[in-house]
Amino acid sequence: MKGKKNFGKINSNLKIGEKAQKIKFSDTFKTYVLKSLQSDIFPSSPNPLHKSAGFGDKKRVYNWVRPIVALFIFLIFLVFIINLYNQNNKISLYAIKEQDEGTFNLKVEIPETYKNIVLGKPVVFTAKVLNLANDKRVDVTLKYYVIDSKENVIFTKSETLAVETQASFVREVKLAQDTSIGDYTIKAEIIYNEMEEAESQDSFKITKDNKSRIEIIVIAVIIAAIIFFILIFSLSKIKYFIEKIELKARIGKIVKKKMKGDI
Amino acid sequence: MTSLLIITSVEDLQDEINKQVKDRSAYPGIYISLNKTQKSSEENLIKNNIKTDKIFFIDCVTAEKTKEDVLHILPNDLDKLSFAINTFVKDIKGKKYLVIDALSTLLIYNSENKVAAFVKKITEYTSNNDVEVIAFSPKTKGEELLNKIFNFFDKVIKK
Repeated sequence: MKGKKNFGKINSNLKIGEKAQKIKFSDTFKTYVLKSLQSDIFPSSPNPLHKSAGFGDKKRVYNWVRPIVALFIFLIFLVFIINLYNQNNKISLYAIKEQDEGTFNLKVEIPETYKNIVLGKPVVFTAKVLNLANDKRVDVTLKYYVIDSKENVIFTKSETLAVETQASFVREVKLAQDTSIGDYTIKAEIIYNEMEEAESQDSFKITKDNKSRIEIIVIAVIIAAIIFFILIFSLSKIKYFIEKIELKARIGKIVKKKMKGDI
Repeated sequence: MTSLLIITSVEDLQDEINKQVKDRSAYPGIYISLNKTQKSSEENLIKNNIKTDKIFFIDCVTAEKTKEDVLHILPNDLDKLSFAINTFVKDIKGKKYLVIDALSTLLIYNSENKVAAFVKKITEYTSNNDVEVIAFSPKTKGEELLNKIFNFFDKVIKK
């Protein structure tokens, strides 16, 4: 136990010695750094240790900080320039990419009221063309066609349109009377410089016109009734007219017969 | 030519008709029988020594054709009756007369206004075509009608 205690004393003695050594070492290091700085950076300035043990002279400290700050600002500026360059590069790349994908955008829309049309009635749709390049007025070809459920093209038309930034058009398609009832699609595409730039589509339905059929039946019945009454009226008039002619002829005969001697 | 309306009692009606026809037997006449059948009227005239060979009968009582020279017109068909009278008037040349026995009988088949319009039409047409019109009506019947048609005749005799 005694031995342990002695060791403890020895250890505590050693710690005190280390502390002393560290103090000595730090002083030596400071002296070394300051000496080095004095000789390398400020060769003409007197040794600061001669005047005081710390960095008491502020003017001298600013002298070596300034270029570092300048260097730092220059680096920030450099990073900023690089970033700016990269951003510009990204924009132009994006634009090129967009142009590659098509400089036009097209949207075809059939209004709700024309989604279900009666056979024989026209279908109306709107086409909105967007010029993404947005630099000048150009002539494009709008080609639209109607496709049935079996992918048969039953109507096609194309026309040239002048588009600057954007343009909306309303077009009417009248299908043939013998078009069958069912689902149809209007497809439209924008052709510029002989290349398809954009396309869009919307669908609609052709239905039977039950209302008009009833109307036709009602009108037909009314017309038939009018014709029937006209015929009856005409027949009675004709009958009466014939009777009168017969009566006249008979009277003529009677008068002739009775007045033989007088005439 | 004159138009005459004679209003008399039912009992004296036939006698008055006979008298008027006899007075005009020299020239042809159109006899519209509304009160009796053509046969009955003709027999009555013959019975009274009135020649009927120049009388053109329009029978409005019977619809069946009895004789070839007799017309049968329904009393409700005033248009046809008026047409027949006009045709007779046109076809018979010279002076002639028209007898209508019992105008009021027409009221059984037609409205007052229709009968009045018919009378007006006949009197107008005959006055322009050398025809003497003698119309009869029983006293008791169709007073309203008589009031309406008074003015269409040149002379009205009440007996």
